[in-house]
Amino acid sequence: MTDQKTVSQTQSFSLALQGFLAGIIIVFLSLLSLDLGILHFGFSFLPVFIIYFWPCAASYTWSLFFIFLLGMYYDIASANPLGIWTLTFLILFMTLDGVPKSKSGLGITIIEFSLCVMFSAIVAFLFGWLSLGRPPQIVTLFGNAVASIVVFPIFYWLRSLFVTIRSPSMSL
Amino acid sequence: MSKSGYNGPQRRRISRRSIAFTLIFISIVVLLADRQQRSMLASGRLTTDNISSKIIGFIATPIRGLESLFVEAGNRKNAYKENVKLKAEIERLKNIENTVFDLQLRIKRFEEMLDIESSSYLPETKFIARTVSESKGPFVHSALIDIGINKDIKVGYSVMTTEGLYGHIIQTGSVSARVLLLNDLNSRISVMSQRSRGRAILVGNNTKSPKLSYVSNEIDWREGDRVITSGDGGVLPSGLPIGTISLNKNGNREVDLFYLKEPVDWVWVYPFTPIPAPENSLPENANAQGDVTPDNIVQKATE
Repeated sequence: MTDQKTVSQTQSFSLALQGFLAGIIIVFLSLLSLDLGILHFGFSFLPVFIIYFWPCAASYTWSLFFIFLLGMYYDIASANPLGIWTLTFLILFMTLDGVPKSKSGLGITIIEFSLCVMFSAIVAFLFGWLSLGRPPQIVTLFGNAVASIVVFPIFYWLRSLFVTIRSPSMSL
Repeated sequence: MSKSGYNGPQRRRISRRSIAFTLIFISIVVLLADRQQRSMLASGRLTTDNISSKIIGFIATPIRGLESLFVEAGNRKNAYKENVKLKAEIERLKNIENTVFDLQLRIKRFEEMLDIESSSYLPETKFIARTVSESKGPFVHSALIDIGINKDIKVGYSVMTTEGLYGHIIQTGSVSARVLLLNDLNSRISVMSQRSRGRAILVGNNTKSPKLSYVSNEIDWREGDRVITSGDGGVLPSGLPIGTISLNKNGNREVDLFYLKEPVDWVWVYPFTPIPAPENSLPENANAQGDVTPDNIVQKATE
């Protein structure tokens, strides 16, 4: 998240806003689920993709604010108790602050993303426990985490396509 | 260096951290305030549900197609076996059909003789709706359907699939409604065994098999018994099929829900007016007229 380039205040705000809007789209996709016989796949952790790829040059303050709104929106849209995803996203964003992202290709990125998802799963589990008063279903939680990791390459490819079309420095 | 002793970058860092921790603090306050109630930002939730139902309904179409393909493939694979099984079932049911018809007539005659109405409270009118999203996550089990106040849907209405009870409406928006599924952590339904008529409470636990609580050990409960709604409390109609009883590893009774047999796409919403308590069902002008107060009712009964 460290700002390596000099961008204007408007641009840094615009990048944070872009992250937020992309996050809203991802939230809609993460609300979908897939029922295949006895198997049920949920993609609750897809929005972690947006936090992981949050624009580097985006304004930090605005980013925090938009991530707060994104988490709140996700909690409302998924009918969860308020605050679980808000806290998870904020803590993940703060943890990733200053950690340089590797540009070693899909393999390493998947590992890094998986770590982010697992970290988020643990944080969400703890706050879920606090909110519900009893531990959330750990199997479902980590099942959703794995399902989100499995579909990650599709979103990675879509992002790469987007980056190729637009200027790499300005896009997500 | 400024008067505070911090230079520019340090000050910026401190200010960024304080904003981050303020937002985290606000989130924790919201989390604790909304604990188990889910009543905060109720109007925001309704608006979000209305918007989400339209968007998700559109983007979920390919996924629903994929699901039905999967189900179709399974059905085709088992078509021959199922056909043989169904033929045997038809033969068996043909014999029972006459008995059932005869019993129905006899019950109707007895009801007429005794002047009682013992049929189910389930109304004949029902609304068809599509589930646009199902949240079977670790925290909640709920679904969003694409009809709401526009079809006169109200909180408390029961929602059924072709297999059995799915849940009940907990929130209605203008064009959408949220259904609390039977296995949600907050779901409590009064149920009974169809065979022994033993009563219990079906308690959701965010798993596929909710537990049976407050089970009387004096009443005979067997594995495989059909569980239906008891209608106790007057919140849901009686007789809605829910599932069958199974025993878990610890020997506790669970219910294998019927609705989980197939992916849920279309559902029926049954209008049902909860039976009000007598003290709440008095006419508004009862006190003014002085003839239908609880005291008067007791007095008249005594007379």
